[in-house]
Amino acid sequence: MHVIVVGAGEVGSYVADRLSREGVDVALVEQDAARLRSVADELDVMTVQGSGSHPATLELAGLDRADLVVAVTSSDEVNMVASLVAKQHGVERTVVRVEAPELRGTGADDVREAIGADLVIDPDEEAARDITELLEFPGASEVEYLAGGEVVVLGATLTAASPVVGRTLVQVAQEHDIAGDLLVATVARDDETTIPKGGFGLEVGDQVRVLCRRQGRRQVMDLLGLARRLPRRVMLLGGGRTAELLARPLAKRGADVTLIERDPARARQLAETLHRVTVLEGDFTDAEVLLDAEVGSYDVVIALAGEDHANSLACLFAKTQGATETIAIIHRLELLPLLRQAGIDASLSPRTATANGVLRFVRGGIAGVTTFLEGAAEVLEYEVAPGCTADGGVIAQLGLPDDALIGAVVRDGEAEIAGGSTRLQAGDLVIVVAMSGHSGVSSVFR
Amino acid sequence: MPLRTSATGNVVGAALVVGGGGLVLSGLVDLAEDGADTEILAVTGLVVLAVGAALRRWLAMPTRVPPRVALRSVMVAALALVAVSTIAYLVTGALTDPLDALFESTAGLSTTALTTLEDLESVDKGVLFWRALSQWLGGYFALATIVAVLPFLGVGGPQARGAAAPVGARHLFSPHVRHLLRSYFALYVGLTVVGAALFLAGGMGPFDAATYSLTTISTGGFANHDRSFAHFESDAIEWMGVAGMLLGGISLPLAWQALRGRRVSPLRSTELRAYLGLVAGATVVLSLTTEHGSGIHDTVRSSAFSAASAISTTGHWVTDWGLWDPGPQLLLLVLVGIGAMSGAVGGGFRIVRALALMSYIWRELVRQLVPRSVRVVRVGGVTVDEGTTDRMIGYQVLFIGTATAGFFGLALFGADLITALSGAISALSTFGPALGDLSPGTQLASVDHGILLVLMALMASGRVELYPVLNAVVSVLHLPRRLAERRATRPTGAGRQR
Repeated sequence: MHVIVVGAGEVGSYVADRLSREGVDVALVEQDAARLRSVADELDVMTVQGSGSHPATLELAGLDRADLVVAVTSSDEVNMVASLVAKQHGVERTVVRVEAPELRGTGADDVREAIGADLVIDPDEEAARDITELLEFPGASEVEYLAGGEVVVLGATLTAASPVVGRTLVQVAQEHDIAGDLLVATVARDDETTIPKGGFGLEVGDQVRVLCRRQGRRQVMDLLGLARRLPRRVMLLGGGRTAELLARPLAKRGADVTLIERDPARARQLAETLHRVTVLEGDFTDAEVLLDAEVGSYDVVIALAGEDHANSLACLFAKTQGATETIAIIHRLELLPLLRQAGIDASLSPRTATANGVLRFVRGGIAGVTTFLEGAAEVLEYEVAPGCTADGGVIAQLGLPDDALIGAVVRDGEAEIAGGSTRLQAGDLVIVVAMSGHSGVSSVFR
Repeated sequence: MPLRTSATGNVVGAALVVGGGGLVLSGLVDLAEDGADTEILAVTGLVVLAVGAALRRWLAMPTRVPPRVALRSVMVAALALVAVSTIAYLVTGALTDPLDALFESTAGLSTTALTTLEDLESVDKGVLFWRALSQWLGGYFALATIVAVLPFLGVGGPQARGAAAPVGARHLFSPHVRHLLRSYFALYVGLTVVGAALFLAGGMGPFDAATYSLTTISTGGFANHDRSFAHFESDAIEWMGVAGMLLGGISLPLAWQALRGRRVSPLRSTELRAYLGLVAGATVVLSLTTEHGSGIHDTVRSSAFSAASAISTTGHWVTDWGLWDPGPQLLLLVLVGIGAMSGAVGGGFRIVRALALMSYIWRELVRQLVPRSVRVVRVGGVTVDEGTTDRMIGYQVLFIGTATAGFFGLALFGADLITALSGAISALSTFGPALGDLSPGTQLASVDHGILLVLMALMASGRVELYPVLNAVVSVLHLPRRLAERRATRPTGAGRQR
């Protein structure tokens, strides 16, 4: 399989890296030679220098044998032309990053159809959506919706407030009558992620991920010791596009939103476009600015700037000042465990959501793929094919490897948290939790 | 073939053509009614028309008109119309004192409801028609000023001209402006016809219906009767009057957009809501605080009439608010000061400016409390850019400054404080009647001539949005120095040529 990734920015290089690790043959196209060199040093991909909108450049990158073109430069126009060129050369699928709302809306349906984009993505919007989902579960560090929203994965660090601390999984199941409602999928302790067995004892500080049905998410929040109140006062640090996309619905919902932006012109622009959002001009890496804004009085402080260190320091400072919850956008995934230890409640990377969308296209036969930020675990979605091993089989007898677990089964739109005795049938959507390198899982369903 | 170009001459010519045509029309109306002044009105009108046509023929509009020249044109054209009207009152003998005639003309063309004519029922019909027509023409003149001249200066308030006004247009009458002026004229005529139909339906005779419609839709407020709308003693006519005055206070660009089925800007719809809200709120408050006639219905009707008259700055009246308590009197004065919608024929500070000013004041307050905050001035969710905001603040200072100067002027000529204050605001907003000695139905003949002069200055300034008058004043003040400079530079210039 050959994939051309256009644009070696944050998103493009991450997608190229993920794909090449999966064993896909990747060509990375980038106009900026210096940028391309630095990426080429780190990644095991073929690199081509030039504009992704030029057919000649794309041909150099192997357009004729490409199965997929992923155009994720920061220019909508270049991305769209790249898709157009790819389709004209018979490339089967294209993924296009488009940011302008005017090009994403219904008014531009014809344009998107003409360029033949199979998937239109916007990393900023996806980051904003992830944060919005996080805000619905105050205190959670991760929220993922699976199987079209029927199943939710909640991640949280256990505190003393949680009633499950000090219990084994079997005990928890007996005490709270949760069979069929939720399932502890993974536990990370001391940088090590495991898929726990029944005798596993939970401790304060464990980073757990729980799989539950959408209707049961309130109960899960109680068990994890999370608050139920939606945040009223939200502070956004950094006035990038994600902040703008985030602020608007929050303000509409009636939240008290404050946004701090360093650049005066951008601050003015945000003040114009964002109605009922308090825009402050200032550098949030300056503690004075945060103190003046009374950062400690906020329910949630979200740092969205481009620099990891600025985001993490601001969140730490907000935490010491008394902010209830802090969320940081982090681009370098290596930092994530460190931030958790330092007390930042949640951190996410804008590029992972985008990468997941692309990977969905690359892996055939899988309905959806979700990758966790941290640790080595993944959640996979499979559809049970007629006549495969799983069709008609009971889960406990499928012979799944130790590092994989069937978490939930969705049948006719109804989700059910799986137990060992659940019987599968063709057409079921199965959600599998697995450690990375889950060899032999997919063969069960095909 | 035009001999030379002159913006001022061309605009004055146009004004004279319109004024002369108006006089001829008044003569024809007179012929249909009593015929006493038909010849004199028609002949005067034809002479004025001929002069105007000649000016327009000889003096073409230049392709580029600097703002200063545009302002001067407005001013000179306004003065020319006032002169024509003054001559008409004098030659027909309706008024014999030149100052009275001048005052009547200024009040007419500035759409202010202050009159020096006494015993209106006995005045000749042709003169009464001209008087009403002068207000109607004055209303359109003011609107044309806002649409054609003031966008240059950006002082017409946010979007006074209409949607998609070309920024920085230097053509006094560009094709776009001509198109807008024609559209608004058609609408203005249409509204006047609607007004006349309303009054006919209410029970007025054809002549009264026509003249009252002319003075109501133009928010002028001249009446054919000494007791204004109270003369008719008819509930129906008074309600029709309320409707007519409210129509006069509505933004013509908004009405035009709505009629054409175009999307109305949220800025304008917010202003419309504020306008109707102010009328409704004021009606309720006045109904609770004043009394009129026999019973609640009379009180509500007269309150609605007073509120509509005040906010549209028309000046028709059915009740003497000079007899009210101070509270409702002050409310009325505030409504007069705020005035009508932007892009409406009515005068005053205008609602959109008041709304933007409130947002501005709120922003400054927040800035004091949170120095880092970045806020924009908004009306109805629409951002008002900083340049417009600055000009609006400037306009407010000018408005208040002029009102204060008028207040001093009136007091200097012997008006008591209430008369001076209310009179200054009322005249500046082109409303007319005020409180104290200027209460509705006052005979102005008994008023000091100095006071009349100050009122005239205020009416004229308020009608053309202050700036043309300010420009004229500055030009006149600089005239001696400029003449001196010209004398001083002439020999040097000649020397250089040699």
